[in-house]
Amino acid sequence: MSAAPVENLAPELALEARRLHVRHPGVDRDVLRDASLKVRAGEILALVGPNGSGKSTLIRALGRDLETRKGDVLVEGDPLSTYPRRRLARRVARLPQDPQTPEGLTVEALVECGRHPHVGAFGRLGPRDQAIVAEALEAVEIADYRTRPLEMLSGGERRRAWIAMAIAQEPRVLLLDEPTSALDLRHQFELLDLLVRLNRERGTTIVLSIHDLEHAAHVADRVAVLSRGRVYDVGPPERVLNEETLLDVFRVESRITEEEGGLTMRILGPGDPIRNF
Amino acid sequence: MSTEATPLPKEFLNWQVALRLFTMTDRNGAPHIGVVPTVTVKRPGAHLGVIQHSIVCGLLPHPRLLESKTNEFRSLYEENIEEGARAVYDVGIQYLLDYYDSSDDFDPGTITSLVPEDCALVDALKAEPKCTLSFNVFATEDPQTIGAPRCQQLDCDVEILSEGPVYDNVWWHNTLFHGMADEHVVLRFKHQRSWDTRFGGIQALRG
Repeated sequence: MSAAPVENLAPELALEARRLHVRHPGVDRDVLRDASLKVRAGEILALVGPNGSGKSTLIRALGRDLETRKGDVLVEGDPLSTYPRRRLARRVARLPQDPQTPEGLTVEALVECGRHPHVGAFGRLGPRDQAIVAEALEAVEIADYRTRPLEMLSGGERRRAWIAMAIAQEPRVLLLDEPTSALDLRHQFELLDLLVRLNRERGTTIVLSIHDLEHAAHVADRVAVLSRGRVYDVGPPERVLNEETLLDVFRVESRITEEEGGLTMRILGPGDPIRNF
Repeated sequence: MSTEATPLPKEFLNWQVALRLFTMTDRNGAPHIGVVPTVTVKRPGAHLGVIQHSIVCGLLPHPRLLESKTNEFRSLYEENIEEGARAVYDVGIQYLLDYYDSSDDFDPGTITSLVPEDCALVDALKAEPKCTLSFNVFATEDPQTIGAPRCQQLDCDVEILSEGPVYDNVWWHNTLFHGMADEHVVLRFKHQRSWDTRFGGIQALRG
């Protein structure tokens, strides 16, 4: 008897962007220009870069929310374009920076939406789905608010509710566009810890765009630095986030020291780049 | 109408090669002011009847080397882009340290530049494919290496290229440092005559 095929064996690469050129509808220039990026299965990859460098565009292109003009996105080795919607939704979940919340929708109803790619034609949630929704609410510590409308929650709580929805979706890859924006410091740390927990306990591959470089260094296994629509460098934070990178890409002088708790960055002021990009 | 270029003064071409090598050794690729001439083109209706733009200009490899150099630029890019734009930039600088060796390796009568196809300069050159390039360097960081201050004017005929071997060479050279530039054209400045304009004097230079 031959062994059954192992369907869920995680591939080495969860996502791959190959030579992507992307522009927004109605705009006649590329926001991403020949951007290549490999996302390893099981890692947390942070996208950093100045405003307008292409972070959000890359997140959207990886989640098939934007058409690519040239190049390919591969999900577990297969072209993104070949994935039917429901199958893609079981692989990849994307949370935009500021998701629109339908008025009156309760936390529980939102999180149940995460099960839609998994349920049958009539959309009824079975006992397993209900259990997964309950578990997702617990995971982000928002179960007590399950019956509340989303608009009654604080910004941090609402963000956690959306992440619970993504957890309920059981994706292998979670794409998050600036998940810590508009959160106070404590909620930023709590959210990042939640993402690390998701990654370590469930093996979810996470790609997030983030402005705070120290947070990126703290949370990510690797960092991709974007500059003017191109990937400037990719690698472990302690290699990539250095004083040259901050000069070339962010145009600031800095002092970066590596300490036990991670990288500490002191921004000294504007500076001239080393490389004339 | 396509015209032939006359050779640039050898001294000028040597100066340009030295400046570009200096740019690689001492400026990590940041253009020296000596490679950023002002282009002046007739433009009826414009103030004083001309428009002026600053451009970063380049030298074109000698025709015998053109294709091989284009292929080398392209290979450097293709082999390194997955490492990121910074890696491409750094190998580009390393490559150009040997590239700017002798003025004999460059086209004797051509200066080039890559510019957006929809800019006012291109519009003016489409109407009047002639211009002057003014190089004005009033201070020099390293006289031993890059020579004395120098001001020169080149009168040129201009071709606007959107394909072909010259376009490909300039485009791939630029791509090493600035990424793929869509919707750009290459200006090929064909030298006709030169003037030494330092201290207000205008003196014809001989090749």
